[in-house]
Amino acid sequence: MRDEEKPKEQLINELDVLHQRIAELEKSEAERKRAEEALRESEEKYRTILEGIEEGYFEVDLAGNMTFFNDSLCKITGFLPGELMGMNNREYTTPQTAKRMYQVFNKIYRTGKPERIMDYEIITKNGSTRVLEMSASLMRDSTGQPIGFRGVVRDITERKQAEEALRESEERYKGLFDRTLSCVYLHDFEGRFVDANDAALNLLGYTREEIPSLDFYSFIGEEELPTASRNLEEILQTGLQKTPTEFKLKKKDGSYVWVVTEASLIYKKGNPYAVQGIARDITEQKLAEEALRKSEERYRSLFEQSRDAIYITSREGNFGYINQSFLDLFGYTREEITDLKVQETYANPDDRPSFQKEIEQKGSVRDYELKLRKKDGTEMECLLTATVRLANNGSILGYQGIIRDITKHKRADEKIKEYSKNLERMVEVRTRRLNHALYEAEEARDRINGILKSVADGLIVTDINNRIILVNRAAEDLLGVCSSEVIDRPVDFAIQENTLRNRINTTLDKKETGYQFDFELPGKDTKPSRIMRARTSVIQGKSGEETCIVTIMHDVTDEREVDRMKTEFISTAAHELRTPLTAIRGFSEILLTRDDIKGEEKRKFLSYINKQSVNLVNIITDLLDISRIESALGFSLKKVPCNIARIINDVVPYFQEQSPRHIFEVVLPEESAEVMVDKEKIGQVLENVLSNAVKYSPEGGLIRVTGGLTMSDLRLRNAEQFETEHSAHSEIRNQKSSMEYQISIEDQGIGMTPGQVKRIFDRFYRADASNTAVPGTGLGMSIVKNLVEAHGGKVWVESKLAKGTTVRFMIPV
Amino acid sequence: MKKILIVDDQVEVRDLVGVTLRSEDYQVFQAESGEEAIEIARAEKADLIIMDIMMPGGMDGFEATRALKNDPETKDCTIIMLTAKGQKADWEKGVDAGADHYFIKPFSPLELIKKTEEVLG
Repeated sequence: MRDEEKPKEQLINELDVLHQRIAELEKSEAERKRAEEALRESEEKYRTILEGIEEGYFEVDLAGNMTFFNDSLCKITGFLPGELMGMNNREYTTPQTAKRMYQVFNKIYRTGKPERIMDYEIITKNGSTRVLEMSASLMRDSTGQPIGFRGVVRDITERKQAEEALRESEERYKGLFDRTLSCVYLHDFEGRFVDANDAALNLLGYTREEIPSLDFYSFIGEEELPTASRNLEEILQTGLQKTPTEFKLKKKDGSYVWVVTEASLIYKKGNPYAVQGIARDITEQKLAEEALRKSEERYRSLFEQSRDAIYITSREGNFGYINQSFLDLFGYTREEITDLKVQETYANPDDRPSFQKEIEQKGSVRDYELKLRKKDGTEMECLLTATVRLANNGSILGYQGIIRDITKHKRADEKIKEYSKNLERMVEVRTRRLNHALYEAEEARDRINGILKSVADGLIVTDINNRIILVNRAAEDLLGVCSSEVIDRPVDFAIQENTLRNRINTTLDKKETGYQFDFELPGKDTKPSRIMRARTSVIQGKSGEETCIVTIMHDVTDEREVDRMKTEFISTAAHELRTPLTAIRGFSEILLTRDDIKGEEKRKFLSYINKQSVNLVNIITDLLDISRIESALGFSLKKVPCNIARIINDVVPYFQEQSPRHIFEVVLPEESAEVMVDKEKIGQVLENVLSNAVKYSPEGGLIRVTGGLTMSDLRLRNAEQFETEHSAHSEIRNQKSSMEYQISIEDQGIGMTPGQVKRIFDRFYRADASNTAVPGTGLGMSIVKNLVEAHGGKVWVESKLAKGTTVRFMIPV
Repeated sequence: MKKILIVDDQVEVRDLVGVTLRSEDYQVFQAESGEEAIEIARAEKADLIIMDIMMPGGMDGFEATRALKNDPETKDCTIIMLTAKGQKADWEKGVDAGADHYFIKPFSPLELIKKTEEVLG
């Protein structure tokens, strides 16, 4: 130490410090006293607080025994302070709680940090269970050593119960919301939907995801929007909708449902935030109502507008309901009816009991005959159809039914009977007539069919499907088909000839009538080909529709041949005329212009002119004859009794003179016969036949003319025999056993082929047209035939080529 | 002297043509048929033949004309057809056979003289 070294001042200083220390100590003692006082006050304050708070406060030692607690803890646990002091946790808790508390306190002890124990149960003194909540911390002494725990507990039993109740309520609501069959929905105050249950979604056909996009406009029709707005306003003002409202809603698929809705506000934390509604599907009910309404309307209108009188009466005879027809029928006004008794409408009021007996026994009557009376007293024959009206208990209230006035019918009935009798009579007459008409129609049809079948022209009738309906015999022959094979068959099948088939098809296609066309039918075997002219016509039904096509075929081969012959004739005639004219013109011109022609030569030329002019006259005479015969005027015969032998004897010498080199032989019976003929015409016949004999037989040839009476049957036999040979003759008439005068002219000339013989009488036909050297017009034999037939006679020809020809003709006597 | 052959079956026509063409300048021959005409035409070397068409026998005017025109000896001879056939078809047939000219009956003798002078120059 260094005290010996300290100066005096240092000591003084040290003394001052001591004084200061004493003063400080004195001061500190005063502060301690003040602090003690403050501590006491503080303790007092905390005690007051502790006793005043609702929460329980406790201090326990490290073992968990109560060392300190406030009154609230006594209240919570139900124990008295004396009982609670020193009590261990385990004594007032459930085993689970005790375990949790141990773990928590252990944790606090280890970490030194405060902890909370939530929702633990204790058992109060009276045995009931309370739920508590605790926060606890470690308690240390002044040295920092842990000496126990202190904590605050709160009784949350009530709160817990309330929470549980709320949860249950929510669950119930949610279950209800999800599973109820009614539609439940939530929308905001603008009508936008917030939520909806499955029932609501199913009803309208939307999915849960679509809810945010939906609002009132999605399914409430324009006419119902005002109602929806009114409801919303009411709900906002009063909290709920007082009366259920019906809406017709449009589903997503466009169809409609009817619902009845009720809605109210729902709140969140005391504030309204949405409208919750419930809707029930009443579509079926609505439809049923509608159907019922319509049905009622229908029956009402049926009732009101019925022309039958309909009534409802009481059993006592008062009128209940009646329709206008009833009033009209009886002539009462609606007012008068109210005071009227049913019996008063009966012609005989005594009829009512029997009517009542009948209807009450059977429950109803049908066409019950009754005489009723109008207001003006007119009695009516009526039919009543009515039923009994029953009360719920089965007692009879009255009747309802329909009255039909049949007075007129009854009168009409009698008339009808009379009419029907008349009618029967008329029907009988008409039937007879119809049968007759039918018979006639059938006969006409058969006749027409017969005509169609037998006309010489070919006839084919085809229907609009181009099937053959009718083919007559001529067409069968022409086309070489059999009717039964082609009827109902298509034209394309039945007709082989191309032109004909095509034209029928064309006519059908174009529906044009009057097609005329020619086609050629090829010959078969020895038959030559035929030229046909056909014409198609579309036949129209009464209403203008096409019914069939008629095709008529006419064989124009002969006509064509005649045309050809005519042309040839004209050419021939021209030639025949030109030849004499050449001499006449030529020699006359020579004689006029030349002076050197004199004497004998001049005479010869003049005789040429003269001879050819005579020739011209003959040709012209022939032409005139044929044209007269051919013309419709015909010619008249000047028949007088003539000796035909004399005519023959007059004509033959003339030919002998003309053709001196031919040998003429006349064979006539000794007896002369007189026949009624036109002498000149028979002469012409002889001349024509003889001129042919001369023309077609060689010089020096024999021409034999035979005449005489004969029996016609002989001629007939000859004729038949003749027919079998290739020859022609005119028509045979049945004049057996009568007499006739027959002449034959026989030559030994060039003869004719069978084909030439067949055509010998055709006009303009010349057996050998190519042999231009033989003059002739081709009319001679045609004239002969006409003249002989004009006398009622016949002419026929036998001929053999290179042997000669015999022409025979007969005139009846 | 030019030689003319007249062919026709009718004597009147032969006489008519004969007298028409009777002249010091021409020597006239006559034939009654086609066959005869060919024979004479060859023998006499005719300068002009006046030929009828329709003639009896086998050969008509067309055939005779064709035969003459096909024969080198007679092909230079002028042939006038003389016929009553006046149709165009006959005229064509004549031209086809080789006829140089065509006269239709009844013809004018004066015209025939003119044509003959023209042909024989």
